[in-house]
Amino acid sequence: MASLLALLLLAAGEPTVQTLTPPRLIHGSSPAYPKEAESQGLEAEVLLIVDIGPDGHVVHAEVKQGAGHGFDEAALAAAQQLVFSPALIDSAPTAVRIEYRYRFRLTKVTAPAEGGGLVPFRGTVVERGTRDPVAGASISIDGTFAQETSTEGTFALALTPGRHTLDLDAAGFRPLHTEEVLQTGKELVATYRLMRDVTSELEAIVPGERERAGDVVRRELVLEEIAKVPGTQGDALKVLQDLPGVARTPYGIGALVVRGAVPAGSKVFLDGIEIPALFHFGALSAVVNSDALAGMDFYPGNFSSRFGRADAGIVELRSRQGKERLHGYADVDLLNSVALAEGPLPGGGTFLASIRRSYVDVVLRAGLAVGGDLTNSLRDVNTQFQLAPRFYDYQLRGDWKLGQDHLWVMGLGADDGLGFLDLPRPGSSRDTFTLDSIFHRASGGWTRTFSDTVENRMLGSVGIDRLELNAGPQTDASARRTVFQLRDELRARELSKRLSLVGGLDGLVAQGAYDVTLPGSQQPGQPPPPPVTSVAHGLWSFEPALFAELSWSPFDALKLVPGARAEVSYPLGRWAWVDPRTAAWLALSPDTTLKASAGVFHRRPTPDQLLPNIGNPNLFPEKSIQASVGFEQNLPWTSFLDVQLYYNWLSQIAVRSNPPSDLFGGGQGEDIVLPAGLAGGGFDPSLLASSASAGAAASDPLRSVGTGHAYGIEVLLKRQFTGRFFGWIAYTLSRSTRLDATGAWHLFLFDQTHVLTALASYKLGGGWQLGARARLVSGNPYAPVIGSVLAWDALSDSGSARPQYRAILGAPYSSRLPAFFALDLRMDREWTLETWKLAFFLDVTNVTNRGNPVAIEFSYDYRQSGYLTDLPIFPTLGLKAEL
Amino acid sequence: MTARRASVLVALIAFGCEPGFSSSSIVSGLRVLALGFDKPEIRPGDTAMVQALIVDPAGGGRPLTTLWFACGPAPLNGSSCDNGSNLLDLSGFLQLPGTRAIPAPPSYAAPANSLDGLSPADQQRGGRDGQLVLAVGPGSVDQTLRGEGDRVVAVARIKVSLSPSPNQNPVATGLSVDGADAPEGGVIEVAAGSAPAFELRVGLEQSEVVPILDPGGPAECTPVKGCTDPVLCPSLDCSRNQMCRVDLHPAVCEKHEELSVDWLSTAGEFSRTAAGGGVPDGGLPDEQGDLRVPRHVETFYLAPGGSGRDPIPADGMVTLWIVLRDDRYGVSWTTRRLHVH
Repeated sequence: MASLLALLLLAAGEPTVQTLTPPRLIHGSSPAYPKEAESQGLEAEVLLIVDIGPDGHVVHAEVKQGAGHGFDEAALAAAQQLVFSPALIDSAPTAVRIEYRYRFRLTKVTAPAEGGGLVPFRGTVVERGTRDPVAGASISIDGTFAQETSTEGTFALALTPGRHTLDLDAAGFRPLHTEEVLQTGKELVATYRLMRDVTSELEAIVPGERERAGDVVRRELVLEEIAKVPGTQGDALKVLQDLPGVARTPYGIGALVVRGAVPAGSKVFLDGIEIPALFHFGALSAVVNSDALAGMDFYPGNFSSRFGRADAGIVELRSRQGKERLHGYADVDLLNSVALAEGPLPGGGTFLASIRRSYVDVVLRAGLAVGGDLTNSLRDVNTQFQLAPRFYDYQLRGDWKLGQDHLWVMGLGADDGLGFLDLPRPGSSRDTFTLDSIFHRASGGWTRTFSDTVENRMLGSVGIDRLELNAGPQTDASARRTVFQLRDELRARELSKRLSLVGGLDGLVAQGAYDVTLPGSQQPGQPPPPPVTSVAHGLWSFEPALFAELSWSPFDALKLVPGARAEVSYPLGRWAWVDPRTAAWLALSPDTTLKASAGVFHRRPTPDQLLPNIGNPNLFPEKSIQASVGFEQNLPWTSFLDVQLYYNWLSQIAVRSNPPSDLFGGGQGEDIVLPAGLAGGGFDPSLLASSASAGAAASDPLRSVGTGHAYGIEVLLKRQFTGRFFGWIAYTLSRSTRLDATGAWHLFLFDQTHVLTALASYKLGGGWQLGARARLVSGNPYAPVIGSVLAWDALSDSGSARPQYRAILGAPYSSRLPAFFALDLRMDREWTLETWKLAFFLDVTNVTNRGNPVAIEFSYDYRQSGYLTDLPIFPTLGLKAEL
Repeated sequence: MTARRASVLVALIAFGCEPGFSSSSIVSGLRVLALGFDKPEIRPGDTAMVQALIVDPAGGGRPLTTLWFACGPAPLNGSSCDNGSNLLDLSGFLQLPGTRAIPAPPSYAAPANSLDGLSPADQQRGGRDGQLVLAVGPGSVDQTLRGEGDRVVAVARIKVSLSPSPNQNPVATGLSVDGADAPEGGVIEVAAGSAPAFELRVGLEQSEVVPILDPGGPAECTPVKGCTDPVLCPSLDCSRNQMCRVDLHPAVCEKHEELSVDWLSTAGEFSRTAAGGGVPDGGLPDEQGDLRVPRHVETFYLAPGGSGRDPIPADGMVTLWIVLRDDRYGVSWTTRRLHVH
């Protein structure tokens, strides 16, 4: 009966679900029927909480729901005789806690049929709706334990002919009681479907020894719990933005802003393979189907030396293997459709395939045509067009077990496109705009398990990335890259009693081709000059890295994890560095742990920053020194508290003399700077010329002279996923500042002082689940407009002079938008039918329909202003049929 | 546009809710509608008179303070006004009541050494630009300097060169409304909510032929009717469809000026807004082989009274300004009065 829904590791408050092998009952025991109760004809059920040690033996048992009359004592005595196969987490035996139910049934004496021998009785026990086999379900015949189902959910018995009672019991499922009649000489084959019991509490494991890697902060998410977080429109990965340390981006544009750093400072890995993005355009959906994942880990900084080429955050996705029986679903909502199929492969393997396609462009076009003001407007607005994203993504995975080896292959990719919707507006002279982003990866891996403590994981990948942008006749960018990645990681647990080691190689080779075209500097009355282009083809980069991490416990309560990562980047820039990193945990008590970490992190400039003409090939890698301290505290009611203080010193940041002054790239060079208007006659009208062109870029190149600080406190109060309720409160108080080439300190454009998220979800039973999420976030900083100048002869893109108002900006990032607040609600309803499931959800974002400002829009002369607001109340409906 | 900015703008435009602002073609407050000189291109030592169209239709005739700052020629992207050393003339503390053009505009005198350091060819072709800054507001001089109140700052340029054919301001030859001539000084009758077609007539000669420096090469010269210059077009046929190639590095070509029109009014709305309507290209032939210089620039005007958002003025009168510009600092304008019935 020892099948388990989920195990929650409460070691020092870190929630985790990794690759889990539940314990299986090897040797059962039947309790002695209490004489007194038997004489009174009493029957009962006793629910026990049983702790199983790493060796599979019961170390402790106590009554959770007793029945008295001697039943409790009999059950406790019998439980001590139970023997299980050890539970495994990532192949490591571990202690677990389970619920175990004993049923006391008075046997009905039934005379065997005349002339009858034993009759074969076999069957399968599966979960209702999903048809997943229920392993370890206990089968009692006539009140006596008979057998436990196999990993395939099967059982085989031989009984005397006649009527028998059958009791099926499995943790997390509603017990099933039925009767069967066996006829002489006629085998009985049956299938029993157990209904999953939402009311049963998930079991928690006793705090045990859990492997600590060099990551002091590791947010691990149980995908089952986050699949129904409100406001995510059904995409579990979007809950990442509800964790401490992650800033909110307008419209959820999908950028990952971690601890006030640029999005390029964070990396996303899928099974160790770096992928260029986590979300599609507009963050409507992740690029990977979360149902194809086993889990997700998020490191907001100070991550292990196993990761590199990043200096902000790491998102590590772990895909899962396909199930061993055919299974699939189709999911349709307002934004996209998803289909998933999985099952067995010849040779004992499994496959999993998923594909998604959006149609928000079609929906948006239809919506605009019905209710929009598309044509014949005489207003002078340049925003009467709509761009809508369309995207698709796919994942394919195959797995094979060959003795101690595990082989897998995987293909995945995503394609995002943006363009103008067709608007029948005669004489429209708007610029064109198209944006396409594509990536594909083909990868494979081999995991070799040498022993219970030594394992080697090797993987290789080849892929392509492509980005195409066109924004007018003189603005064009194309980036194409072929990427090869090879990674080998050796894990040796328990080199000695207190020592473990992880080390390996992480190599990346890429060949890129970049074509960028930007407008050149213009002269009035002259034709537009040829655009400035930067072309770099056949750019090879070779980036090998070696990493090693030691885990040492000089005594039980203390664990130290020093590590280092050595990287080389050649020839695109020529750098080499060694980044030392270390982390430490000190368990003050079984429920309280102190932790600290420090490390150095380097990140190579992005390819566009290194291009000649518009970038600077001589840039240095950006450097970050990070330190953090914190504690983890287990709390009652299966909750925990995690508090983290961090401080990052940033240097060698690539900056220009005229940095952007707002989220949208508008810089002081693009607009006029007239300090304090015309006070005292001091001004510089010659700054009227736009410096947003490449001509200006050539005279204001990037330089690695920027520095910055990012510091704050992150708090996470979380209740563990217990099958019925989960939730958390995440709060971040932070500050991110930069010192750029102008010599002035200012807030960073992604600085958000307060980020508060509270979310909760509750299963009502009967297939209903309700959830809510509230977010309160400080607004982003921006440079205020303190006036405007009419540049009568300002130059247009075509080179002709026409009047244009230019904003006079105040100090960079000296003002802040109003705070953001949103309440999201979600309702789920699930119907579990005999052999399939049907689920429906309604997810309403911004229930209060608050107009949250995300930017300031100005009239043509900057005299009028108003806020551009985030999404209004936005409902999403979804329907999912699962076989 | 960077990819980042593009992606953010995409999200904004696709999903965002934006405030509504009034169109730039509707003039309600203090505005500078045109700024230039009677001669947009002068020689060193010459003088040009400033001309400016400053309007304040809702100001009720309030007095305005107008400040002029002029700076000597400097390379375009240089700082000719950065430290005041090039200030030529702090010449204007004019009080302008109501909405009329400056009666006695200040003058701009190009210094005699404006073109020092330029090659003779550059002195003829490109020259240098002087800059003019105008600050106008309803407050005092100090308030206008400090940027207090409803102040407008505008900047314009003047070309200083030794060109044998200096640029002239373009001039419209007439205005028609629904085909009927609408002479200056008259009142045009329009029905409320109607959409009459306005047509500004501009002579072919107003789009001047300009020698330009094409920094790239070999250049493709635009065909010029009647061109017989063996230097500019050595393999010249000069039939109207031929493109002449010049193997000069850099090439000297000619093009026709681009003329553009701003349609502005105190009420109602134009389908072609500022500098958008009927803008010709630089003189490439059209399907008929004719040069596409502007013969007329047409727009539709939606008279007020057609929607609750745009009521008819109390007196039914609408002021209309039509500003004609070339792409070399030349400007002119014409004014009309409309009566909406």
